[in-house]
Amino acid sequence: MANEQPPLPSITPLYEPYYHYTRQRELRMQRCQACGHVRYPFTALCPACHAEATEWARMSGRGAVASFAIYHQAFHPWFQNRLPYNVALVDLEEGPRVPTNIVDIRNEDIRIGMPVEAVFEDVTDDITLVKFKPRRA
Amino acid sequence: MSLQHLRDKAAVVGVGKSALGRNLGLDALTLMSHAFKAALEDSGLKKEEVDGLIVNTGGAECDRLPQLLGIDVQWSSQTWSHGRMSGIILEWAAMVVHAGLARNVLCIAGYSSHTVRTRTVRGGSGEAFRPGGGPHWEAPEYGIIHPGTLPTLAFQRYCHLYGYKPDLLGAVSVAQRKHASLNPDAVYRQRITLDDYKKARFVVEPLRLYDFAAVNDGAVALIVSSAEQAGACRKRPVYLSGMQGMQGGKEWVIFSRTNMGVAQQSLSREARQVNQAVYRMAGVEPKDIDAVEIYDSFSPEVIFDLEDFGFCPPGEALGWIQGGRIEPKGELPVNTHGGHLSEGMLGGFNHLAEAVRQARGECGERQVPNARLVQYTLGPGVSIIFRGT
Repeated sequence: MANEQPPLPSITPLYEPYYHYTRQRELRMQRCQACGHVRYPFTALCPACHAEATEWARMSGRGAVASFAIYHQAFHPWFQNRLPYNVALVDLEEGPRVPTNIVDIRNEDIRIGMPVEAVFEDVTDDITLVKFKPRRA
Repeated sequence: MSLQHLRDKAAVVGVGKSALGRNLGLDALTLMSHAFKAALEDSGLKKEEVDGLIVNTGGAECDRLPQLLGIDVQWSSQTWSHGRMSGIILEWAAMVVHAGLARNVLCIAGYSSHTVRTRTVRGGSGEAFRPGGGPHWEAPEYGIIHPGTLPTLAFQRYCHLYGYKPDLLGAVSVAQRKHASLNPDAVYRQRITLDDYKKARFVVEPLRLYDFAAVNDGAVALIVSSAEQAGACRKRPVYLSGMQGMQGGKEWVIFSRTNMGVAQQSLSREARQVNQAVYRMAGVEPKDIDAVEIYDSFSPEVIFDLEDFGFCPPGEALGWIQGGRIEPKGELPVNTHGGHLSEGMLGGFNHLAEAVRQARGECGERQVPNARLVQYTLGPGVSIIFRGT
């Protein structure tokens, strides 16, 4: 099918480190060096204490499904032959709630609260997305 | 300065609508011209008396419209095309006329399939790819493309937290179609049953076809004047009694209830009711409201707003709306024109127009008897209480 490219994230300088680490199969997020708050979305200032200093701290990759939904209609050509597909929100153990997909599971078996762990999916040579698969609690 | 300072200091004196429909074959500026003419007639003002303009469409209409409409404006502004700023536009207008920067402010929006619409619906455009998520927290790389995904995710979580079956949501679409069946302007007037609802296809499960706004063409114009000026207009003024702005913060995201959205930085995920300013300003309580017009591009917004604005406690709205409570002749009629789901998608401007007309008592078959206080809401935060006289 023509125009069958996956939609890719917009990567600004603030987001470059995140994707740098996902390529290496590491989920890292900004952690404030002053107060320890884990920032998501990524920011220049800590929204809790306004410190600027931050480190890209490695996350455990563990979390739980906060919610999910199943797309039955494609709103982008890439998904036309991939219906139905799930989209989800996962609460990381470290706090952030992130948009994602749940893999290695049938859509009808996904449950809110289900424990999950991060997996890495290369969508292009440069971009690796973080998805989640079921994990034993 | 107290919150009551602006109560009843400005009024809507004119309301006008263009034709509504799917693919009318007219551009947005033409539809807006029709709406303006109708609003002007409704108000009894001459076009030369309109000296302020706020417009919410995608281009530079704040400089084109005065030329096309033959008006000279002393004060103008423009927002983006999305409906979340529609209520805010009336609030600005109220402040502008009260401050004396203009006497009569035209507030106008127009939508046409020939111009702005596809930008937001298709998700293939730049806006959805804003770093960190689109304006409705789209994340296209994960297939989160439709602007209704977030309310769907929030609704799924809502059902989980409070133990509801998602199909109960059908009561919203059924009620609004009933209202629309009484509204000659509505694009979709044929009534549906809960059974029809359940048989409709999923779009983003658990939401079905009837849970999504009917995208269409049309324009709405409202004219806001100071309270003193309003007395001289053709119809009885409808005052802006209470107002509340768009809220934002760590727990807030559009179209969701407090602490149910995405990308939140707080670990506190408890529901809390914070929408009180609009009631304090108007000096009324939710129980005093005769009808509510709730921004409803996606039906879960009705559930969330009923709770956020105190019509029922957190976790109860989905049960509360069953059995006809928000239908015509119900205890609290909601979206008396049919809302976006059935009258048509006009970015909330049609809700504002309906609120004014209900408060005037000119809605014919669908009129809520003796409606005097009519409220508009768009979570998180936006609300206006209109008071008829």
